[in-house]
Amino acid sequence: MNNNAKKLVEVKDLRVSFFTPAGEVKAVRGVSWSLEESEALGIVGESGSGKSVSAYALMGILQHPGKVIGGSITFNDINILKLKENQWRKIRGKDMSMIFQDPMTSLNPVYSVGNQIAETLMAHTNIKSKEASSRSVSSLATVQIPNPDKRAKQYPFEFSGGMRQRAMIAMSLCCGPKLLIADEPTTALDVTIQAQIIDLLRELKERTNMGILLITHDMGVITDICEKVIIMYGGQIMESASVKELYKNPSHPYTNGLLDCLPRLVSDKEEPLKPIDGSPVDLLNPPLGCPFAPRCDKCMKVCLSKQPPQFEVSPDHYCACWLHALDNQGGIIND
Amino acid sequence: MTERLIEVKNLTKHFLIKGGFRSINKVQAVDNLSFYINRGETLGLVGESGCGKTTVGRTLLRLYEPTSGKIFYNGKDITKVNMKPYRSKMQIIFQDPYASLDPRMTIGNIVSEPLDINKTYRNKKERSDRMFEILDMVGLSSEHAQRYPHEFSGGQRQRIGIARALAVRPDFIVCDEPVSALDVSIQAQIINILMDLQKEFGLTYLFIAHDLAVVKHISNRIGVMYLGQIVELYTSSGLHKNPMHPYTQALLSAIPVPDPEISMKKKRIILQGDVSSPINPPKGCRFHPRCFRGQQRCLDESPELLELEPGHFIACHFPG
Amino acid sequence: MIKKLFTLHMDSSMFEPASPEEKKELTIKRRSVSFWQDAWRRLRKNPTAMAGLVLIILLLLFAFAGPLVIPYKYDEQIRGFENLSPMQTPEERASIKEAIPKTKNRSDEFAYDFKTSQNTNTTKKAQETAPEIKKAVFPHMLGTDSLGRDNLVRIMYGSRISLTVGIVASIVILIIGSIYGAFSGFIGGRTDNVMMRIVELLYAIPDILIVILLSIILKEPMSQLFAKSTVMSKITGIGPGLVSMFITFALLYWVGMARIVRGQVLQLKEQEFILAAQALGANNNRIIFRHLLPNCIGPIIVTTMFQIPAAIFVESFLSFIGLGISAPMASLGSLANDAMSGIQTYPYMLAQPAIMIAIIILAFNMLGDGLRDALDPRMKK
Repeated sequence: MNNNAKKLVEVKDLRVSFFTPAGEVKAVRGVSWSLEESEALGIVGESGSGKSVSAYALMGILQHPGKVIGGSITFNDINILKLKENQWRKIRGKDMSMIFQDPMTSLNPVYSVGNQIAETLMAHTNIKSKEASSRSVSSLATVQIPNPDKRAKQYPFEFSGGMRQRAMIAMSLCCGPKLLIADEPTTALDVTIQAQIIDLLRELKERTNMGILLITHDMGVITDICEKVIIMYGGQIMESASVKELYKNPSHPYTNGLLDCLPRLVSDKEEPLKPIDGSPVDLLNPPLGCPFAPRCDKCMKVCLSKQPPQFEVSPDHYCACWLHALDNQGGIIND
Repeated sequence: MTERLIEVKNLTKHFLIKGGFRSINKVQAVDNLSFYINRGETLGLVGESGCGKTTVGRTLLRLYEPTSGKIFYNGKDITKVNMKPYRSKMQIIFQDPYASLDPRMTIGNIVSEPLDINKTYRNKKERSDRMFEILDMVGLSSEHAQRYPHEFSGGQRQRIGIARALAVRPDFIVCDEPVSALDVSIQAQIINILMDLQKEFGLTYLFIAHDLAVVKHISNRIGVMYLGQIVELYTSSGLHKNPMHPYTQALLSAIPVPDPEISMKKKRIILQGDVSSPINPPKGCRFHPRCFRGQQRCLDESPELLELEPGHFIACHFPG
Repeated sequence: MIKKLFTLHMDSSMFEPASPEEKKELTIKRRSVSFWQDAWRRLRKNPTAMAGLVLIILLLLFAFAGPLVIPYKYDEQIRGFENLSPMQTPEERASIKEAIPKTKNRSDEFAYDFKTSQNTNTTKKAQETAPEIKKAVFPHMLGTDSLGRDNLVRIMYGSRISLTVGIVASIVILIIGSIYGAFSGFIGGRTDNVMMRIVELLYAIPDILIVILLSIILKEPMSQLFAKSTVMSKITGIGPGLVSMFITFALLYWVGMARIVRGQVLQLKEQEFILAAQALGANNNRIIFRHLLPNCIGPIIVTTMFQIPAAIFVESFLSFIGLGISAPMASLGSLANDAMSGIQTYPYMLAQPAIMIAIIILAFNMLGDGLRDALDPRMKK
């Protein structure tokens, strides 16, 4: 981790809640992380973990009744939570862009693909429409869509799922953003197409200086692209580390649970899978202590009543688990 | 009692959909498929979207009528018979836990409906006893019986779907992507339940999924489908160790492995292009536009599914 | 980020493993909310819908309980009290009339002992206090008609008829329309095609003509039928007019409901729980009545709620042109018809039933709108 590299995004103690008729759904409860230029950070979590919500807060597209109720987000040294909508619009699409899970519903079905890319270009730069059209064709070529000039005139329904996702990537990249947020970009795709898209993202990252925030529930996807990874559960960060370190030394029971419960191709054993007991957290009434405690087989009394702080397991490897308050003999580390 | 509980010969299912004005397109969802499933075994069926695996499962149960071919259950030809007596023997579990349960019925009624239809009880007490018994089998308690589906999580709803399928004590269950819509930590719970139930009741499964790792864990043998046809069929471990069809090889290499050491060493095969449409499948071998080994013969001649090793079936001109 | 535990002086007993019971305590069960409870909650928040609901309740009380309060019968003709305007008494009218020379004044020929009531408030449930000895006269709050019948009571009975016809007709429409639409949508294919073409045909038929034709055809057999029980026909006002109206409703007006239910069913039948029911061996009847129709209840209720004012309007219109209710029973439409002859002199006679119809229709529309929003399946996962 290069400490001299500029911090592109810094999130400090972010809190987001949804004020629904049923009550306050505390989707994100105190999350802090940072991303540097040309670095790829992965956020892994299941449904309800708060991973997508924090990305939406970052882009400023949090829908009613969601609200950011605490913390700060700094992008390129700008405190973006304090921006007004018209200032947001200048950043969104140009310096920071996002690709979504379902490419079918993210593209406007009544405009041609080339038209939509050109529109983005013209909204953020001063180029004329002719040049915007040719630039949109070349951006389609960048994402390896064959026959880009013919494809640019086609409509989204004429594209397959994988190609639509590429078109989305092309649209996000056309203005040369500093940060690309990818929210489950491969979940809706077939596995062979997924491999293509991951390959494409990795190649793009190497070519440009772009930072990537990749949100997914699939640990395998993270491995291929990201350097750092954060594991989220119940609106909080359970563990954060570099990808290599996480797989070598997973420290949080939830991380271990996730890694263990996946069926592996390589395993030949006839053993049953090791699932994680219980059900996901109820965010209307989240537990007082660690959100994972009710499902954790190493749960201690303290876990149920007090939220654990982030313990440093090793340099730049943090884990929010009370187990790390104990030393090797099981005694408490008191400083 | 035959060894082969389910057998399918030359099964074909085409859908006719209206194309433009007055034209009709034929979606060749399943084409000339043949396989068998032994009693007590799990046959996995993998493939990507559009390959027809879901159609196979539903056509087997005659939820869709086959365009041609034959289906055998326990040696009897059930292709054209009245399915009513067979419904209690052959069941299905669906993919979407949110759409597969009637939102207006309580869980108790959903699970007892098969009992009502097949009249397998004599009085109310028997019905409710059996209902609680089934709920218990999948880890739900009796107090859940009065609740509605929307009060449950995805994993719990899937259990309810399993309970419903088990209510009439079937022999054979088609599991149509039962864990694809669930969180990873819940998938393992459901897979374990399915495998436990299989051991306890001697069930036979057709397990359909797109995740090869999941299928490998639960299946004894696996069939790989592409555009309506089986391209390779072998035992689970055999398929993983020695895949011979190029599509299987590409599929295996494309699966993301959550371990950087292994991931870096893996040989990557990235297929070009997209899956062709089943409306106009390519001539000759259907995989040839994306195949990295394709040659002229693949364009002209469609390969047959041949047994190249004992139990190992491949449809390719250049396997290996 | 905190790296070490220096300020938290923890008790070592806190680090003992937690028991499963302690873990279970934390899984608080959310109170289960059923579909209807949620819909009611949403309805309550809608002020217009609540106003409509209250208005409907008041209307029902007015129409069904109101006549108990008013001491007049709907067909009670009181001589000498003809054509009074609201709250007027015959003497008041006589005194007005004396100022204007008139050729004929029948009321002068009769002498009555009466005692006027003291309270003059205009609420519909005014109480009156009259001594037993002399014949007390409850004020005619809305006046009387040309035969001396109290208007208020007749409006109440008229509303009763209109509401009853509207609601019963809507229920008939609901049953026929939803079953037809559900079958058509579910079975699909050629059957659906044929059934929908029939629907389109029925849409094209002019309803008034059918009602007229039917009422003419039915007049003879009906009057023979009712000759045996004139009492019933007098009380309920059922005659050839009303019967033919009901038959027309049953024949023609259910097509809107059928289309709506068919639309819902087309969507629903692609859902997996229907496929699951088929896989269990359920026959078509079971699927339609146990699975499809219960899931269509939202649109069915909303459509019915809008169908009621439509039916009331049709009935009023038909009675207005003389095809509906039979005398002496009144419906709002026939009251309006009666009022037409004296429209220049007694405009309030027309205004009263017209306003009543308007209020009824408005109330049902307000509630219907609110119900549509409340029953909208916005509550997804």
